[in-house]
Amino acid sequence: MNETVLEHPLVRDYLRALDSACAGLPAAQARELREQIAAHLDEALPPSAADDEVCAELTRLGTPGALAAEAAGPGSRPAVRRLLSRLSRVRWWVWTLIAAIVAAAVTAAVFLSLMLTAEPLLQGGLSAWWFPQDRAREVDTTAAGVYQTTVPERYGQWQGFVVGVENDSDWTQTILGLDQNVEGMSMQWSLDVGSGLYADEGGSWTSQTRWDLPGSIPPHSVRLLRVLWVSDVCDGPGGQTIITDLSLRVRVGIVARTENLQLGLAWALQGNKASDCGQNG
Amino acid sequence: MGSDPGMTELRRGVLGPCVLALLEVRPRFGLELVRELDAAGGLLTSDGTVYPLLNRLRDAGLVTSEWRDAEGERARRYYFITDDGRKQLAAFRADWTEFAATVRGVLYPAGEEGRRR
Repeated sequence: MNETVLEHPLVRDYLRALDSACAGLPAAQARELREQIAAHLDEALPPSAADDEVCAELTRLGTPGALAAEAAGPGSRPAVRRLLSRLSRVRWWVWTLIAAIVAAAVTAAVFLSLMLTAEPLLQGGLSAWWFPQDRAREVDTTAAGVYQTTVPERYGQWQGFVVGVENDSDWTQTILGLDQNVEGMSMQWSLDVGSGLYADEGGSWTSQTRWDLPGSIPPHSVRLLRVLWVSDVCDGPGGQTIITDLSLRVRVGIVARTENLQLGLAWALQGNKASDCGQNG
Repeated sequence: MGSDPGMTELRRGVLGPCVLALLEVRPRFGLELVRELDAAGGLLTSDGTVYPLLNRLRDAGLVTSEWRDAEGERARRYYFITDDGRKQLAAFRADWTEFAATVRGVLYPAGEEGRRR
């Protein structure tokens, strides 16, 4: 047997319906009305009340919707007040969770923005042809403020240069490779970042220099970038293949982006006589 | 008593003063008020509407409530009329007497009332 009529299924259903109907009321108001109606039923009906007695009392009370409307007062409340009322019923831990998620999202957005807007890599320090035979035959010129270093193309052989690369940002930047979408990259390429003694100042390399790809450059540091390729352009006499910049895939923090590295001078391969292509060494 | 919207509004308008009048006699708990208003006849559209009304009267400062836990009885929330409630009730009584006389005079003009009998 029930100890109170509040355990009667019809009463429980009625109170549940009242809770739903009062969802738009301020929490305190809804709670108070529920408490009053529950006290009314508890006093008006014995614990062992029959279904028809309970039905009659609930009918006299009025429908939950009518009670909620009466509690809301004449006329419906403005939508903003209803919204505020519903918001006021949200539990404190839900607000805490929402605040934590928003704070995390804002923090992530700020960090992401900082990564995306980080200073790109700059050429700084060493600029030198990698192979001794090229260094021996290089010709440096200046025209209209543009510096150019030129070596004969050695068709079908590896050629390349080493430049210092400076990371002036607050983020570690990791060179992942050449951007494969860059036009004119039909030649076979090799790219490495050099670190170790001298290389860490962008000054020079030794036999101890470690060459890696991907290669990381810490914030406000300099490393060497070695760019090698198999020359297969075969320019005719007077023709030149000139490289003035490199399009690099670089990871900044967790963001990968393409950076255009200006090389500071023009690296040129001087074409040979057509008949020399494939025979020069 | 009729249940058209006009009568519902009229009941709504007089129910507050009636509650205040009952509480002026002595404090009462919710079910007690409902039963007495029911017994008066025709004042309530439904029993449950008394509770939102009591809450509005309390918000307006016309009644207060407190839990009383008398020995041998269940704890009940009792409602009390406040000084403001008494003043409002007195004002309503004065207005009502005049208003009811006016309505009566319009509804039952002299001579017409005699013919109805």
